[in-house]
Amino acid sequence: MALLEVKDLYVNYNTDEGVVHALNGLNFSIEKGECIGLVGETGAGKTTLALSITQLLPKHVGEIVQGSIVYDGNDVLAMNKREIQAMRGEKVSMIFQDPMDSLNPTKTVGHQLLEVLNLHFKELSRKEKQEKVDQMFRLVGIPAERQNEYPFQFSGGMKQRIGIAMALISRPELLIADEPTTALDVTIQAQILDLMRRLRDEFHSSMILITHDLGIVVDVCTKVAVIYCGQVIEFGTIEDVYARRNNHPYTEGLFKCIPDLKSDAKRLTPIKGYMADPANLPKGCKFSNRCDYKSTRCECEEPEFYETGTHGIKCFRFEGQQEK
Amino acid sequence: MLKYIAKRILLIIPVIIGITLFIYLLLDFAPGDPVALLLGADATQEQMDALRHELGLDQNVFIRYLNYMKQVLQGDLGASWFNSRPIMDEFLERFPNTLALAFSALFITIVFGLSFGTLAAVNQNTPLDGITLIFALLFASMPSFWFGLMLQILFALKLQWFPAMGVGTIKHMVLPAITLSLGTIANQVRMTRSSILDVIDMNYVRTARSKGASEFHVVYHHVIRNALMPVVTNWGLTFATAFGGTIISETVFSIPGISSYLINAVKVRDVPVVMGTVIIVAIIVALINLVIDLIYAVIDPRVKLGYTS
Amino acid sequence: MKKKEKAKSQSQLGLILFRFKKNKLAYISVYVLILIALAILLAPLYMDYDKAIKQNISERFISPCWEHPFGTDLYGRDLLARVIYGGRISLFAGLAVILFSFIFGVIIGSISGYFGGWVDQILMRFIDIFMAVPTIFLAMAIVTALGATPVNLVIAFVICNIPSYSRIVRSSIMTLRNMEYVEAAKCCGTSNLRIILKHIIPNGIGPVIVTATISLGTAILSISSLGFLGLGIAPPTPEWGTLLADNRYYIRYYPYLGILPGVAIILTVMCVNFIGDGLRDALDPKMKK
Repeated sequence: MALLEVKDLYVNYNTDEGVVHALNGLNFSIEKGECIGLVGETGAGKTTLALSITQLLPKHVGEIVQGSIVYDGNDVLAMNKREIQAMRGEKVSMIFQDPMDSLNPTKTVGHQLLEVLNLHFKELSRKEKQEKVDQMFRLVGIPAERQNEYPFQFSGGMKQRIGIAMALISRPELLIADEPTTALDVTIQAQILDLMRRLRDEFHSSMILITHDLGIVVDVCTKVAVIYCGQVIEFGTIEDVYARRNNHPYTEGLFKCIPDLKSDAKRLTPIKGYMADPANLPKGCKFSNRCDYKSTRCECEEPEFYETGTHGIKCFRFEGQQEK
Repeated sequence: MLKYIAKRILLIIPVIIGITLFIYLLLDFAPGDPVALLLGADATQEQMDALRHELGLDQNVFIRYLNYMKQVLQGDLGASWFNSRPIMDEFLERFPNTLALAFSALFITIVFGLSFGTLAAVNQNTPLDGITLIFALLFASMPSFWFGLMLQILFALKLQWFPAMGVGTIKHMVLPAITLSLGTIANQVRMTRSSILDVIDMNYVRTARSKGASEFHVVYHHVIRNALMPVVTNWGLTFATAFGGTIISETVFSIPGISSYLINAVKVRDVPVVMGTVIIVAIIVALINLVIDLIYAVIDPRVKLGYTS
Repeated sequence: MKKKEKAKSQSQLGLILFRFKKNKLAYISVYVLILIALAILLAPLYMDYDKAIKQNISERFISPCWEHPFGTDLYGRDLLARVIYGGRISLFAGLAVILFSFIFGVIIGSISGYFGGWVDQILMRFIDIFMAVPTIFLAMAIVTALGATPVNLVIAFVICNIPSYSRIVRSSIMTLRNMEYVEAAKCCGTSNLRIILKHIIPNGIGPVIVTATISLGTAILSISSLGFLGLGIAPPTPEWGTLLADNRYYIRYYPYLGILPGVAIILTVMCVNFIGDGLRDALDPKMKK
């Protein structure tokens, strides 16, 4: 059984200017111990998915319209407040994008780590908790003495280490990292990714790594899901997707945007056009307005998810190719 | 920290010199002869000259100001031109009333402002939020003298729950303090609300939620303290407004305080009394602002650790 | 991130107006306030000033009736006429106070915030001086010194308001001054005055306008407070504060004397406050989701 299964999820944002369709029938699942990269451009719905799983969508604005989220056999959408709170932080933790403002500026970082233990491990003694905190600081490479300092006394990379420590201190079953390195320097990025990989192996957590960078996914993950307009349009193992034999036209476009030192290409080929307006989505395939292979059918009918072994693509081009 | 406090206290001095000089010149510049006002219409020229000399009014205004300030520095605020009573004596009698009034208003404002502001923010866009905001606006739109009169008539004269005027017991303070807090409470509610809404959208609050904290825990531990910072800075202004507002409360409820002393002095242009009041009030307001800055430093670690001034 | 502004084709001003109109209370308040202002402004056309001034002891304390909708006061003057004519001073003095405070505040605040350094230091020390005592004390002193006329009342409150306006303008300019588009303009060799007029004021004016609107309510209340204390407009000229003070000892016997003028003041000030509130939300959409 999958650790987390998201089925046919629709999420809307109700804003003053109209309804924005952020997720449109998204399907996604992750097994125990897996690490899946969630790739897509800004506005594709990656963060919305992460927030939906932990029920942290902005109040009164974000609304789950349809679909189901099942975590470890339990329906997350049917959980009451207390059950969700018990799940958050203990079983499912999150690392956020911007380390600059993801930590409370008026509390010491040590206190913020300790808080997780105070919330979920009340049975531990004070000393045990403190030991765990010290150990966590060491694991992420920050001297334990510095835990009495405030977030503004740390650099961005260090804050993100603290964020990681905070997310992992409860040894969660599932870690959702929402663009954990986007706001950091490239050199720091590598360190943080390395740290995450190491800790994931050590803690045996499953992980969803959200990013817009295909390069990061191949470094850390075993599987990859490509999201476009609030739908998973391609899903497979790293080998399936990165072999570049069969790809969704959008994924193909993404690969063409990555500079390759070995090839002779003079210039990159960006995907033409912009992502469809999520307040006003096209009827058929959401990518049809930018697709080089589109036919009239793409514009009026939505393709299904065609699977070949572990590899699935949501495009008519792969209809009938799947093995039964 | 001590150095900071000392610096702040030193900064009060030029401000006090500035405001006293301004008021002194202003009163001197005002049309009408205070001596004629003091002696009445049937005074002779000699009498007027004599009194003018006695009060030192025949000297240049700047010299008079310097003499006056010299005297103040020695701790002597002089005597009223009208009844010749030493101003200090009068102050010592009246001051506790005004201070008690201003502080109880500040207290009411903070307690109600913070709780209703938080309540409204946490329940943003619900009817509760809307009603709180409309009531805050309604209260902010009431003239406090009118509100005081209505309270007095309803609760003192008609229902007789509280005394209608004067001082003495805690009960005497209730209506005047409520009247006084009217002007500041609405602002406090609105500031608290918007400040909390600012903070509640912050990413670190989402982080706290993602840790599995309950809504109460999130608001209590992560939102309120951060949201308090701009609100606390505003307390200085709130206190000054409340202090100014005592003038209405004291008038409506006939409380013998500093403000009612000032208002009579202003009407008859009793210069030493006006000056004395201004000096004392300016010092009090400055000290309160200093205290509030210190509270702020306790809340904000950046200030406490000396990272910013 | 996923938010999309449908009204993106509209101008900034159009967008603000669009949001303002969505706030029903604020929108209605605009019309009510216009109505009140017209009633006050056009008073001489339909109501004799004499009714507000002339004492008529035989008609004192008449309860509200068809002929005297608000009743009459202790000198037999028509209360409605006094409230309407009183509004002329309160409302228009209030508007004048806001207008002049706004002008001076923007000038001083812009200079102080944009140039910084010693200019800022000197101006701010002056501002500190005027903020040292509660505004009503300062206003009292100034009004007594200058004499209680409507013009002097306005001068007094303008002096009292300039400090807070200047501070708001200053702080918003200090933030804007370091914005990259200002740097960009400087790099292009744009003159200081042009930068202030074209780049800084249009971007920083929002909070100042909101403050101005909200402080119009405060100004109306403060002016009538001084009247109530007997330091405002000299009698028999009607003014909202004085007319309540005149009748204060009779209100307990004739409640209409207090309630009706009170409601008139509250209605006016509340409209102003609702408008200010609506403007604030329209200019800062973040606050309302």
